[in-house]
Amino acid sequence: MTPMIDVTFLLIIFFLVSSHLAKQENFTKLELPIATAGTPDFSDRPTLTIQVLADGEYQISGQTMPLDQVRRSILARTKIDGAKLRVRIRTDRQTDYEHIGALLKICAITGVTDVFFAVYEERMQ
Amino acid sequence: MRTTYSNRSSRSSIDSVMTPMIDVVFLLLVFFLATASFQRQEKSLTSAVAAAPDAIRQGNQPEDKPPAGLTDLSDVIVEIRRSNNKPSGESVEYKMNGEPIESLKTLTQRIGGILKIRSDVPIVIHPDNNVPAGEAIRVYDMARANGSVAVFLVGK
Repeated sequence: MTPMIDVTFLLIIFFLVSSHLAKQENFTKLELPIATAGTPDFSDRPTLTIQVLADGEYQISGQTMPLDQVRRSILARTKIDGAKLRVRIRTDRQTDYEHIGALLKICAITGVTDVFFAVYEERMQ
Repeated sequence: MRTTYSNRSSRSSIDSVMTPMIDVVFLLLVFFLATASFQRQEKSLTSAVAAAPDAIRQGNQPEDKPPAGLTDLSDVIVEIRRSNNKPSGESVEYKMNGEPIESLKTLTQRIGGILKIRSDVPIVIHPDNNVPAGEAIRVYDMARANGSVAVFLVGK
């Protein structure tokens, strides 16, 4: 009996772990900006994550797209979620600000008032 | 079933004592390796409420216009520009209301002083196009950490 229980426990742990790892790999690796005033996000409001890569490329759910298509994606989401929609910007810290500025403007034009940035907490290097 | 470990053959004795312990230790090791998250936790830096869309259509104003009631205060405009040769080693230079500020530390002191008097003074951060986003957010975060309730990033 005992060896079987051992093996079963090991399998349980293995599957727990592998599902955890699968969840972690949802996002592209980005060097997010550092901030001290960041808070953990527990809100369950609908959120659209837009990634801005270091070379200024925009990505929504893994798909690279030009700025105009980003605007249409936000508009499409606001039709579903309305004013509750939030936009989360995951940007690399080396991205030129013009790409962020343009994105902020589009958010304002499309009527999304809740825009926030994903950041890393400061830590000792 | 063997009841004593004080066996004459000490080698098999120590084996039989150690094996379950090693099993458990490995299991614990695997468990803690698995539960430890090696990915840095992402926090969110909440932004102030942006302006209603009709305020933007009227011109090329910054997207985050201060809400009504704050407009009688003069804004603090922080400009960020890229620079390559600074003695402090920073990659950007700052201007506050047109006046050059030599370092982020000085800027923090100046803004902290203003915010001590009134925390609702609108602070508008206007980075140049080629400024890294990380630097813009560093200033934004600095203002928020100093207690500002109205920091705005310029959208263009």
